[in-house]
Amino acid sequence: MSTATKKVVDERLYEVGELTRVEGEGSLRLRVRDGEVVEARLGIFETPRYFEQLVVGRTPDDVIDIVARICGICPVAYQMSASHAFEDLFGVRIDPSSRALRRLFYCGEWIESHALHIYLLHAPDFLGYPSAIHMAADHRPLVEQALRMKKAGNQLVKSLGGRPIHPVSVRVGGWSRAPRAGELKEQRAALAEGLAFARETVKIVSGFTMPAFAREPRVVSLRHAAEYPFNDGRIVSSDGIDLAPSAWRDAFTEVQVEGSNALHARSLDGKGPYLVGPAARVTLAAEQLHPLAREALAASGHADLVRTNMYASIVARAVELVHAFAEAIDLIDAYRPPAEPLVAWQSRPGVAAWATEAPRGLLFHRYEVDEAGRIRHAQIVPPTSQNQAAIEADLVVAAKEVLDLPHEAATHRLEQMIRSYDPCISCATHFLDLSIEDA
Amino acid sequence: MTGQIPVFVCGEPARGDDAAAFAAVGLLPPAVRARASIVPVGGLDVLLLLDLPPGEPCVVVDAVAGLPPGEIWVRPLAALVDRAQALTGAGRAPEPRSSHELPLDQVLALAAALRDAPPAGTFVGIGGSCWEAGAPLSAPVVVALPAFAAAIAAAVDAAGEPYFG
Repeated sequence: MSTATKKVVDERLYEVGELTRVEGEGSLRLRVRDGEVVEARLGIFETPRYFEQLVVGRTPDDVIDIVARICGICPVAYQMSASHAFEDLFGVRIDPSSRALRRLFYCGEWIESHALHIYLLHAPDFLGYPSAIHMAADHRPLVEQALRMKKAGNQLVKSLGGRPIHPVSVRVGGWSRAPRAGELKEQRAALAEGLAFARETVKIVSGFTMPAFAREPRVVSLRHAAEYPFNDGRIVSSDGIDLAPSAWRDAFTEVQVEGSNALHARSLDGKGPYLVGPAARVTLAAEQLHPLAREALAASGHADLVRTNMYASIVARAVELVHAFAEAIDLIDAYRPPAEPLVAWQSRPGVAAWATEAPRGLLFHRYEVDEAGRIRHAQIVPPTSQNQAAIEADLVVAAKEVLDLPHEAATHRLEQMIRSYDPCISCATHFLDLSIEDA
Repeated sequence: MTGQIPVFVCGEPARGDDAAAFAAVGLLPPAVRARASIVPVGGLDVLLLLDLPPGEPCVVVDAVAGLPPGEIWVRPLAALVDRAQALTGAGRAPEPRSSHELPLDQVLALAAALRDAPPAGTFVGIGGSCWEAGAPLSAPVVVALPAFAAAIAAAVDAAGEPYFG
């Protein structure tokens, strides 16, 4: 009598029910067979929001107001990508002071976004709390300082944009209203306080224990010869891509992926996923950081780790927080109201395209403008769409580190990895139910 | 107390029943509006609560999913803090809402954690059923708007000095 040997297959299914998209909901599905990841998917089931259709038939200034509604935390980036795109097509040169105000506007948005993510969404992972509320009970000064930093950012956006969320002052050609110097100087003290705490923040997060994780991602961001990238520069990558900010489509495209209502961005050269966001910017443009931010990055000892370990993106985010506060103070000190806040412009038909840097990474807009000055077609590529493939690739890397962990620890680690991207799905990833099935 | 009562109006005016709070505060009688500081906020920010002097009451107004459309729901803010803490303590998750925004009860709980006391005041909600962008208020919510406004007015009255207007 012979004995048949049945091979026992160890298959585990990790499913995360509810993530969110670029402001929405999504899910995570990870299947591991005999220790090898055979499926890693960030599913996106957020209802399509149709903003690219909403702007069809509208004027450029309508577009500026509409796209601000795409995101409550980074409306500035949406407005900036659109306004720069139209100004590039129409040949508009804005007043240098208006340009400085736009950088200040960006500083406000980055401060809001980064302070919120570091302390309220990501730090609880490292400090062992299930939420910021639990963390607040034990680390009240940290949370209160974080909220004060965020408030300083909110105030900057409000004074420039008319309100802290979905601002209304940005126009093609500049601003509908430029603030008086005194209005901005009133905020200097809060920004100086924020800068001090941002520098402390780099020290704090550099002391967090980073889970094991190592890979060499392809990183993509804007890079500018003279300034840290906000709304100008060239699209560059760690492996040689070098494009005008209007030419994103020369190297990248969007594809529909089964099971996802979000388009995934891909590079045309077939080299696979790429990473955008703070870790990419710090990797590619560190020399343009404000001296105080460069100093903080060097002192952190994590300048290399932010590139190779996704968990360490919290350090990159904190370094950018220092940069945003420091540059905001410099801009306010040097501010002279623009002689001409709003430059007159004439529409002309053609393609308007531009990329800027949202807090979470490169944000590309492209509009086809018809003879009547109306939008015929629009394409908006947010950073999270570009990072989705990288998230899935990094889940494969992270999965190998969690297979031996208990259920709860595995849940925490995978969610923490996803949150490292600040993918606009962070809130949802805080309350995911990860189910692990052993076959 | 001599100041106006902050009324934080939550929701999104262009998304169906999420506009209910905005519509209701528009129906408040002038005498009530004079005693209230109407603050459209979209989503409630914990900073708004922390900016209030300790113990100063406020009124938070929003549409609520999960209630029958048009049903008015009034609770002390402290009760929502208790609810959030109970859910968190039980390991249950808050409802997803939007990235980078905590759900309202979590905002209140965070304020409570930072203040060692729950925010003072009242939540006034109305059940909704339609949240689509561009959609109008649903019929049950339209019918209930006067009652919703009356509940908000009552909360303003309860938060302030006796009102003799």
